[in-house]
Amino acid sequence: MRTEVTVAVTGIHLGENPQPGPGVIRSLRDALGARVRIVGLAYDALDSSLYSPGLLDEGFLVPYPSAGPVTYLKRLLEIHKQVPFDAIVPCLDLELPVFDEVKCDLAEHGIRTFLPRRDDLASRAKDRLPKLAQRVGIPTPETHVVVDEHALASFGDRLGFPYVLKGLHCDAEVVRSPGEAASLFRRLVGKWGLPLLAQRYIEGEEFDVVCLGDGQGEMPGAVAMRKTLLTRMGKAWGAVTIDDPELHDAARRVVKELKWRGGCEIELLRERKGAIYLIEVNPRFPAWVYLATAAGVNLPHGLLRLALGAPVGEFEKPKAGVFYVRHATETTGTLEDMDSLVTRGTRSSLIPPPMTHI
Amino acid sequence: MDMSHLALLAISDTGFVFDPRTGHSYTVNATGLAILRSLKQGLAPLQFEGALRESFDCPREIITDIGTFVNSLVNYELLDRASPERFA
Repeated sequence: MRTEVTVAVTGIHLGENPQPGPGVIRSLRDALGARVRIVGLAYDALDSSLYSPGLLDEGFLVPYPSAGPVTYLKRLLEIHKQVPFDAIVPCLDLELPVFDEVKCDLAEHGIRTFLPRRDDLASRAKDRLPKLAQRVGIPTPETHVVVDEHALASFGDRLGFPYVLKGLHCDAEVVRSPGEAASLFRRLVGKWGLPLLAQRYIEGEEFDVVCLGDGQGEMPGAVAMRKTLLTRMGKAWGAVTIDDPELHDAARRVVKELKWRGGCEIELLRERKGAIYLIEVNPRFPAWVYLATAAGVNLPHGLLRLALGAPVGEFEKPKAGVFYVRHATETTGTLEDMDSLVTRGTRSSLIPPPMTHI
Repeated sequence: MDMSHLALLAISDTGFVFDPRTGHSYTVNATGLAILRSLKQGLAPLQFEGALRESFDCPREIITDIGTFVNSLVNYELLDRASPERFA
């Protein structure tokens, strides 16, 4: 069958902190089969998808977004020259400001994107979440910006123990005592920098909703889930889809208010027998996005259609009770693979050798 | 009795119960399954107690056990907290 569309996807490492790229790719392959060609963009020669059978057609190394838009764009266009791609789906939060800078250049080269707008990205940032929550009429836990360690002492009094200390972009720790506060502060600052956020701890159950916004205020599809298995980092290693109209409505209100453009993950917390709180809005599909596809709502395919200017109607209602358990396995490469990636930044004809079974 | 949550439960013949609102799942034995199905049909315990005794060869005190089971449903938030008064 002829390849109809070539799509580049970033965020392709499935490690302890799994990235969304593999779920996006599997969803596109489910929808398009042999009609899609996938170009994986990796930040490290050890990004796992580079060696995962059946996932990528081509793999390339790209510089970190911190290299800046000029360097990043130059590399994307180099790759585009070797393997022309029609669209690119960035899957990591920190890439989005860079993509916002280069999206017009990409369009000039025929590379389509469907990205959140810069203002909307800022509106859902963790430090501005209370304002967004107010706008959509969903409560959010009391949150304060923390800029130095000395200020920590006051949060124990203001928020009570336990409270939650969060990095501005990701990561969070539950602080249970003043002694813990200092060490967790240093760990989070060491990893993510300042500022941090101190948030009131709400006892309840967390639910996540993956959504697609069409940029006009409509939400063609969304799937809610409850995590059933957690990693040490609190990442979902297993989850089950649910059908809760209140969660769905909350997600729709956020997408509508922001006129969200693209994929996002809305984290909500339901107090026992009580209110729903808005916890976070992540500006891209989550690593578990394939669960939505398994439940009948292929949001990455919807996003690709929007990027290509094709219409996307309302998805069917997702099936509740579909679950996943992440299965970690070893992917293997050879010295030649590593040589190719490290010296030429690419690994072509990615059909890895068959797995050896004992 | 507010049956709205109970009505949503997916209940298999083997006693596997899935709550689509929360994603929680449970297992019940044959007696629990019969009680759940009766409650789902909107029957009060006094209405199905007799049939239950016949089917499972239960003693007359089964009504107490049904009350305990219903309280479990309340604890799991599958029945409204106000519901048990109905069984008093």
